[in-house]
Amino acid sequence: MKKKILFAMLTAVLAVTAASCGGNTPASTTKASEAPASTADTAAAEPASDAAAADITKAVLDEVPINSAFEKKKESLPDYFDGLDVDAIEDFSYYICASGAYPDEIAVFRFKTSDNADSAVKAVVDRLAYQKETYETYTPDEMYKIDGAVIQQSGNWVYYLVTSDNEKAESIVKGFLG
Amino acid sequence: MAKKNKVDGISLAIVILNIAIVAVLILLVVLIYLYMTGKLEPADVANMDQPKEAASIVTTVITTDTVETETEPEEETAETTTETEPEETEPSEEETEESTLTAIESDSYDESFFANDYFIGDSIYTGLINYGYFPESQVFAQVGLNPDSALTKEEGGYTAVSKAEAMQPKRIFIMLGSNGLAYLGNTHMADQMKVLVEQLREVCPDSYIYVVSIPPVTKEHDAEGQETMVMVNGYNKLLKSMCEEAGVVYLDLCSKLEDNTGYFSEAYAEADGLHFLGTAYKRMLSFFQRSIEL
Repeated sequence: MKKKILFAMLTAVLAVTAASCGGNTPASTTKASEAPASTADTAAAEPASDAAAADITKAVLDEVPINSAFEKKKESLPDYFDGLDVDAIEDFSYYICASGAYPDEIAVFRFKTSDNADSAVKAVVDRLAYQKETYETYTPDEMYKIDGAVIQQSGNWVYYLVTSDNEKAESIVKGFLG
Repeated sequence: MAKKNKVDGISLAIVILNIAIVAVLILLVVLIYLYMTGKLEPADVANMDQPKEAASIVTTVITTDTVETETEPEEETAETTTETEPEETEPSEEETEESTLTAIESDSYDESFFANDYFIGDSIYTGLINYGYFPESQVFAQVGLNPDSALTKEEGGYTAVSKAEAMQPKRIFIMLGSNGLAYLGNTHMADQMKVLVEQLREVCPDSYIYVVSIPPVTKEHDAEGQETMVMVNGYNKLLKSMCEEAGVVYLDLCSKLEDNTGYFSEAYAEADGLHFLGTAYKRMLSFFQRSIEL
């Protein structure tokens, strides 16, 4: 019991010391969830042409997480997007739920031309159809993610969102791309 | 004059404060000394139980690893396969029993060891591709696949068997059954696994075939009732018997992923309590390699 009191005293003293040392200096780290400005708001200030696909997907994942999120490399894209012309891609970022438990995935592509982007939409639509066929009998509870999925082309950009909050995810992407 | 007295007062306060800080530091040093010499036990503080648990896990790792390496595996029987490689041995009955004692072990494996191997499985094995462990060419995996549908389902124009035939792998690892637990019946699934094994053996006579137990489920998943540890253990038992009858190697992965309560360890389980985290694949591959090399 004495030892407990001793440790409690020490903890209290250290806490007071630490607090007084800190003075009025604000904490150097802030949790993402406590950040006052939303990621989308921050992104909106960035010109679309300067946005990196990886920054966009990261911003989405910060707000709408995916279980076992894993970023895929370019060479594996044809395994997921049948018929996608990878040579026409200038920049991209693609995350999937690697465990296979959930249908969640986020893809953002920037193509060399808007025609390239236009052609790529079919591969993305086919991917969504495959996911729908796969998961509709497997995890019906997860189908709301697929049913509310977003596939959007904006100039050279194509984005594809299958998440637990597609509306929020899309608003974040629009914050970057307009 | 009054101002000077005020300044003296502030100086005195600073001196007292300094003395207090020095006293606190001395107290801190004494406490650290007591702690280091073992006269002060951190366990006395209620909130410090966690590190003690972690320490006991480390002890388990060392203990179980020692147990495994001391076990002499039996050589694979002639009945099992026609293979001639001396280093490939079947885990003995005793080894299988002892493996159930282990929960957390080494996660290291050699990528080149599996360079010519082929994996058949359900959504859990899609993770082998998704995480980039193996290319699609080495895996036949589909969400929802079970021992029944594995005989007929196609992917990229191939069934599981025809893809094996085209590949002629060195080893074939099959892990199927989690999807059928709730509705297919354990006996039927074990029978279908036997059919799959026989078909694979026919088209890949030189391949080593390994049937892998289905993995455990977490306590939370178990409580939902659709897939439970009673079902998992029941099916794995039948699977093991089937392997003995068919003369193929049964790999008890299930026990390797369990925690000390007999459920899927949270260190390896996805949030749904059924699928694998990335760490579980390393654990699995390490177990495969060690089982075969021993």
